[in-house]
Amino acid sequence: MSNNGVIVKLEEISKHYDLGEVVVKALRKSNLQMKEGEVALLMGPSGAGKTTLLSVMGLLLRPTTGKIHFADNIYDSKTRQKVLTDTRRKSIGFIFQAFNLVKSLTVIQNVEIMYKIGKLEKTGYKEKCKEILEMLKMGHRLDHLPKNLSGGERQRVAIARALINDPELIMADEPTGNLDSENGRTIGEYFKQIAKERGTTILIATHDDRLKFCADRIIRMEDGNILNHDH
Amino acid sequence: MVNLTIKDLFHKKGKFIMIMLGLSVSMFLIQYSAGMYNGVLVQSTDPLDRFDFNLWVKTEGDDNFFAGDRINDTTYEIIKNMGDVDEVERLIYVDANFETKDYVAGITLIGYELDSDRIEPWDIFKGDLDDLEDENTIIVDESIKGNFPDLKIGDKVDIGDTEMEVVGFCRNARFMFESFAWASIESAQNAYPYLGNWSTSLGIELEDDYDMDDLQDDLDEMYDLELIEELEVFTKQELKANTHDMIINEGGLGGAIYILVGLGFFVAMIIIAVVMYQTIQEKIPEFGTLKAIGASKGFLNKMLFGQVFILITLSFIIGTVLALIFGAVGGGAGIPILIDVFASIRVYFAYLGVGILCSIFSINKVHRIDPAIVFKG
Repeated sequence: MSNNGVIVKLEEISKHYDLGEVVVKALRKSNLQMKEGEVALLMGPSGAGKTTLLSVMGLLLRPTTGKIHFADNIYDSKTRQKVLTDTRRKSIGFIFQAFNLVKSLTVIQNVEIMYKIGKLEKTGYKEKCKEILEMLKMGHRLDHLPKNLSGGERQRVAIARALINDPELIMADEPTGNLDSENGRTIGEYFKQIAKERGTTILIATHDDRLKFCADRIIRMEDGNILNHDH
Repeated sequence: MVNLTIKDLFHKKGKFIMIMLGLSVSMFLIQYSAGMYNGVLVQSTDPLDRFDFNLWVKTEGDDNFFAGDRINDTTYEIIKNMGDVDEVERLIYVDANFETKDYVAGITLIGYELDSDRIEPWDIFKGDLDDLEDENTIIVDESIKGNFPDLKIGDKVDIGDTEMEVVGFCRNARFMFESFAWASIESAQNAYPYLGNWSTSLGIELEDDYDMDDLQDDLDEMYDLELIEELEVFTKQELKANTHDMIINEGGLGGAIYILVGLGFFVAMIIIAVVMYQTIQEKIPEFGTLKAIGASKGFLNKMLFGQVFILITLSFIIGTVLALIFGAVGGGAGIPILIDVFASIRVYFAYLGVGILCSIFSINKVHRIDPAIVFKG
């Protein structure tokens, strides 16, 4: 993409949830830009709007108003669901607090699944999956089911799945929330390495201060507003 | 490449086995019932298929093969002497009692012209067909031994009002639980001496330039002149169809089978609907994740309908094999189970349709899952 290395830009983004009698304003005309290879922490108290921001920026939710500039396209409240799905599949990786691996699939199959659901180039896919898993030190666990892995190992598989489609953007929600400090630190180091080596932009919603070491920037939120950007 | 459809289906083996058990039993119920339906119908008109007459004459109102109103032998003689009738043979096909001093069983007594090339017993494995020329002799289907295990050639039994001698045994000549006993026309008439000389059907072969309508007209004319009783001509196919209709509608077979088949489909519907709903409820976060990482509607449809397809196909195969096995055992007890390939294909597609229909609600639920739930813990 794009202007001065900006990979994603939120422009006057609002997200309101109509709950009948009340309308919850989860995001209020927020603006945000992220550059290629940047790692940012999204921090703030519960209910600040972090998850909504992550969902809107990850194209899981359409904004109520405003525009998202990403992958040479503009997405807004009218963008069709299929377009959002296609963009997520091609250009965005997701990492979750609860890992969200498919229980019936082995480690390597959980990564290969992206080739099954996506229109990715299939030549040499097995080698590529192995390569990424080996990079994340999971090469010795390829045929294990998620239930036989530790939390740290599961999260590394989730990272591998998020990386396999070479995304421009990774959205991570409390990725260290279920991990001990050692594993948490390891995951942070991977984020740093991925951003640096692959130029992937990573936005991490977290309460975990220990991840600050891997971040280029900390974005603070409260009551649906982005407050400041600490570097 | 990983096949999520199969992996997901077989992941919980205990659950999978229980589902398969339920579906296979319902499929067995359907196939067994359909096989019984088919078998009873085929067996009911087996003699008609084996007899080499394409036209049959019955008394007016007797529109199926089982109907046994009498045609007087004088009528038979009149028809035999009609110039355009090439061949005519009498057939007696009536229910009778087969009685020894110890036991009575119902049988079907079949009397036929011994010199016939078109009507004759089949699968005789003990005794001699020529022995039926002796008065009051019978060849009986071996299934009679279910009730008379010690029965042997030379034994005397009462059929109707007459004592008859068993001169042979045959196979595959029965309708459900009733064995056939073959006799000459004269011996069969002797079973009911008070009825005089009679038969229940006449097999007819016509000259080339004379058709069944011509015959019907001539029979009607003779009836009007009070020369014969009122008669009706049927093709073999008409008589078969009427006999099947009678069994299905009047005999209650249709209703009973429809209830069994309906029950089988109903059980399958419930299982599929519950299984799909429960599976999807359990896996909402997993489906949410798949949607979040870019799984299209088509991918999810393929996966879920694929699972329904596998469940239906496997249970269809298992249920059909079970029906064949049980049919072989049950068939020995007089219940013919004939599983017809084309009927089975229709059952399979109906079953598949029912399965897909019952899973649509649950699959729609997957489509309604908001992928943003993945960030909601």
